Amino acid sequence: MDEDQGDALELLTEQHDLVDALIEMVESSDDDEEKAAAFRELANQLAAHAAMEERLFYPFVLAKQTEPLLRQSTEEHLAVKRVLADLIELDLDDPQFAAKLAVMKEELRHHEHDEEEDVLFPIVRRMASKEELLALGGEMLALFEAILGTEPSDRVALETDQAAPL
Amino acid sequence: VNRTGFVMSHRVSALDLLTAQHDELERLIEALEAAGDGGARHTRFVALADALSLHAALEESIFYPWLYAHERGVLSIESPEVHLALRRLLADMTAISVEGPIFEATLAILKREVRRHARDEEEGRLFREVRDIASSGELDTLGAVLAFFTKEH
Repeated sequence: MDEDQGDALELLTEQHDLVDALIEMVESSDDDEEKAAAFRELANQLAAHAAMEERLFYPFVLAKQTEPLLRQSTEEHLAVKRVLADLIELDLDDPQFAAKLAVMKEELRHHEHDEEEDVLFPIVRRMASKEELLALGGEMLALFEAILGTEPSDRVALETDQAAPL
Repeated sequence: VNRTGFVMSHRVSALDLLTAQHDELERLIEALEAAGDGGARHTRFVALADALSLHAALEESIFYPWLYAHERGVLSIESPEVHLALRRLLADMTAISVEGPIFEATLAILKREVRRHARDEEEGRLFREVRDIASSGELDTLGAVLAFFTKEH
């Protein structure tokens, strides 16, 4: 995706969709190597996505009206990081892996779609202009790509004590 | 009624008992949400944490092993993972003030996870398949065991 293609909210929605697709791949793949590669990609995408939201997006949209939602979002990131850290430690064919992946999928579905896309994004659209969201989208994408290049899933286990500050 | 608020009766099916515990957990969460000042809020949080810990322990040490012995294929291995998520949330909440915004945000997630756990078990394939594999007499016996440990807690 080029930097000039989407605004911040479109970028986030695309990343949510990619995460969903990767989970589907991990769940449905019967090729061990493909499954492992899809999971590695999923773990890195999720870690970079969470870091980008916590460092750029949430501070940008923090307002009296959004604060309770954002607090819940950072706590949900914490819950997802804990399950993800568990998953990274497990063998892909461990029966617990499938169970934990199902739990994480459900948490993500709620966080990404029910809360961010359905509740938070409409508020943000009213708060910020298209230009502001385009500029923010560019910054977010640059940070995301920089983080993604550093194998961020290696550090997920270090972020499981408490939620990121707002 | 024992200390955790779970209602005991003499003859109860295991599934009815577990469903009643799920309902009681949701009630305790709503009571906590409605609590005003710090003292009452703290008391209600402790009641919720006790009831949730007991319920998870009963399912894990009695219900799931019983199920596993009965019919391995039926065992939902997702439930213990949801219990783990719930315990992590409770541990977070225990460590912070019951009045801050972080407590409130965490409670909202806990509430959703408890509802989901209840819905997964009651309306998902778990309880349905348990009804298929066990007679009502067996479920009453299991219910008596669960009731005994709930009362002894």
